[in-house]
Amino acid sequence: MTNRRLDQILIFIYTLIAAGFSLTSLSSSPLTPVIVVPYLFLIPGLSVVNNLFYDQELPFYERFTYGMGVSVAIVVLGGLLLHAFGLGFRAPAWMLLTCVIVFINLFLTNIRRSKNIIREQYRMPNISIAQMSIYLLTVVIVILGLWFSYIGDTYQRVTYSEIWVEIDEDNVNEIVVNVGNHELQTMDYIVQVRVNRTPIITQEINGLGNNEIWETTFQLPEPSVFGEILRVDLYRQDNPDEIYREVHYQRERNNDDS
Amino acid sequence: MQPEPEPINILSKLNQEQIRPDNRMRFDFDEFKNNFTKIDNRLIVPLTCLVMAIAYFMMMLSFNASRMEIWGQADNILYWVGMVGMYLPVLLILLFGKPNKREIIILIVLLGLLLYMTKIAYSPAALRFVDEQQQWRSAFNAFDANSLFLPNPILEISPFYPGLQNGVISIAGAAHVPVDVAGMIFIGVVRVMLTLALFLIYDEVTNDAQVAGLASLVYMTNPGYLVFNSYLVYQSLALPAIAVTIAAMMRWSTAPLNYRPGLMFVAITSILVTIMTHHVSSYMLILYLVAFTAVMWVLRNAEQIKWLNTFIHWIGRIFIGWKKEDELEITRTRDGDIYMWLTGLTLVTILMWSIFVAVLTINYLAPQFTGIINEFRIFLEPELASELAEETIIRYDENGEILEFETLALPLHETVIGIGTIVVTVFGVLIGVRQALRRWNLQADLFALVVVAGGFYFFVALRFVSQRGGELLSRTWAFTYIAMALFLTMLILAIWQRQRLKWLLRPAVIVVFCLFMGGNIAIGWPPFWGRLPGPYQPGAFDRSIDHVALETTYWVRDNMPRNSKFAADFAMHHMLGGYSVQSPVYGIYDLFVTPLIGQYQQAVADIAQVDYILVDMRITTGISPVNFYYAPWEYGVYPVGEPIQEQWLTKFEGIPEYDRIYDNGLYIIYDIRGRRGIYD
Repeated sequence: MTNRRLDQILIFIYTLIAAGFSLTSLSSSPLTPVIVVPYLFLIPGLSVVNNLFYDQELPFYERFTYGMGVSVAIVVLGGLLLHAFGLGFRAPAWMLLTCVIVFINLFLTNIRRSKNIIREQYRMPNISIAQMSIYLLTVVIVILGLWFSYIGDTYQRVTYSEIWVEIDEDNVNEIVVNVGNHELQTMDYIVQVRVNRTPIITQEINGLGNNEIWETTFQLPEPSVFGEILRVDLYRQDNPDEIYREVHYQRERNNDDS
Repeated sequence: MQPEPEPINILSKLNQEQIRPDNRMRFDFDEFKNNFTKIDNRLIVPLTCLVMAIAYFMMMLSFNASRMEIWGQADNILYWVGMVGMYLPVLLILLFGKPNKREIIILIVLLGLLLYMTKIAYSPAALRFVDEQQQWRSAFNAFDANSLFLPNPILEISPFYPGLQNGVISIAGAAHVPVDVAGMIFIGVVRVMLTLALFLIYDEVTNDAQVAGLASLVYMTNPGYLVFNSYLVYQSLALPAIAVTIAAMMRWSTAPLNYRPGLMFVAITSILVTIMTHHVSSYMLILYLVAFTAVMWVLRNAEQIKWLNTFIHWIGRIFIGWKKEDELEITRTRDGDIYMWLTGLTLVTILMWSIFVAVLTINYLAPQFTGIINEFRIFLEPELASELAEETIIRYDENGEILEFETLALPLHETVIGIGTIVVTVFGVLIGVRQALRRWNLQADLFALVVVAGGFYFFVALRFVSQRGGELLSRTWAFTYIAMALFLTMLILAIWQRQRLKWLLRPAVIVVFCLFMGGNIAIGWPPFWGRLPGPYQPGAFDRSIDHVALETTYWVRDNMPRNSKFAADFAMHHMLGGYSVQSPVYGIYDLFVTPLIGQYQQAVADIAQVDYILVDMRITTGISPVNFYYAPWEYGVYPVGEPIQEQWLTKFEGIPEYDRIYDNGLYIIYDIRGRRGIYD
């Protein structure tokens, strides 16, 4: 294997691996974005750049930059093509677009290189174990920092409970009441359903865990007065005299919109 | 005839300097430099990367401390230590060390990525900034429906510039990640592209990797780099595309003939990406192309046209120190026709795109331009003020004076550093231009960058004559700064090389660089009150979106019909239009900043066909740092600097037809459809 074909072979292999991760059952693997993103934004452009500057004289960092630029252009302009042909924006469409470009350019580059005498340019950078270790440690610290910040961002500091009612507009006599506990502790609640000011249903919720949703369906009596207000109040069992959360709605209206 | 320019490595001169005996008691930089590079040349750069990573980790500590409110002001100090810890090692290596090109690229790419990841770490769990939600919605719509150009209720123009969306949904589709995560990854990818392209530009002009690295570093201090151009917004993609275009165009002059078609291909595809991505960026691209074309034409015709020759001679005598008998020596000009064709092609494509695809662009941007013109007309003829008030969105107080929109003022020390930074930039670029012209003479690329840097002064002037000037200046800064960074680097190097007072000037350069970095962060986005993440703040953009706000947003997405019409405060308006996939109505402050829902308020809701109202009960707990809660034009409707009153929000309880359908104690949602048309 000569040096002048090494980049082409690597591009070919990487394309196959990326396609495998994107299109097969491997797509649910956490490695998929790690493999596919560098593919999308480097490989198609690099194959085009290798074709355009086939003599391998262009320095690697320049080749890399133009490769990224062209890859981004392929994705951006290719998106228009996918839209125009109605191919959609799922994995098969993107892989079809990019793989066709990669394979055509690999083919053309090989023809052009075989017709020209070219210098062997690619050399692996000489990196010592000490350097590699320090770079690796750098990456680990950065990832740890980001993870640490993610933990801080998602850590719940404000506690709350929520209530909402699902209404079947065809059946005004049935409602589904939902209560969500986000108080960072197990909670005991009381749900009371009232029509205007008269309680008609009272139910206790015991031991609702943090981040759990309680859901139940209540059957209601027929509306007695047109436009009566139905209220669902939520109390904490440790403070049953004060309404903690509440929702309410007008049961019947003569407005089509409602 | 000018003498042949000497080899360009500016820093190599430093090696030739001798230690002055009378300076031995002072800190000796050459000795420091020699010791610095003796450590083990191969480990200096990896160790520098490690130091930067530790500084990044310190910044994450400051973020979490601020979120938990545990360290008081110490989190701010830690933030600045972390920031200096990321920038300074790169500066020191580039000034003192002898890194090779590969190592310089590693350092600047790492710095660019770390700064981007600082923005990510601010809000790693979700996109919270308003502009990001706007772009997320366009990308989500396209991905969800497998089709482009679908309406976006929170930014109508966005779907017609699908460049960013295509990049994001390619990752979402091929790598199987959610659209917001795909957006974060995509901007990281183009950040690497921007850093590399900038390095190529500076390397091409200076032919010195170390100076190119320094210029790239200086570019990273621009006010938009840290956060605004790291957002998922369309100029975050357009800017790198422009940089690639310029890099390919500049390479043209030194590239072998057989490379030129390839470079032209790279330039044209990047131009198309820019045009498809962002309207204002494509106009800034035109600025660059026109500058290049004009400079090529001027320099190529300078020898034939007498007045041009004289003019350039005068410039040479003033800036470069030519003598009268010197002849023009112009380097690296190229076929101006190609540039003219490229500029023409770009103009025609922009026009075609605006006419056949993005037809809304003119309506979208016209108010900005007509507003500036109207302000100028009012300046000339004050009696036009009342006639044009509505168009120019100018409000008047009870004395008939223009009500100036004010946000929370910067702390004094940040104001001083910020103003100092702008002054240094304004004068520093001029001095840097002089230094650059002296060093590289009439190099065509350099001359074009001088013209582009001139654009900065135009926008600075506009800042002082128009209310919209500030917005334009901040939006265009990132583009003109590509040129300005090179000249500011020349200023740094000019001071660094001075032999007199070397013991004072060299540390001063490092201190001034740090202040410069801090000043640009101070005048950039976010302002000091939102620089660190933290608990909920009313009327404070992404600082108003905490965990509960996000959960409420997700609840709406999961439980409400898509594209329902909501009225809400400014921050939640964008979250509802984004993650909740609703069609919120913008700026209906009339429903909120009033003690009652009367006929007028109901009419406003009816005309906008509002279905639901989302009320943020915490908005009453403090004062907005930007002095508005629902829309900027509510400014002055109630006393400025006062919070929203609680009874303005509880008034909805007294209306029987307003159904309270959701309550979590902090956010309440009312279904107001029952009252629609009640006054008809």
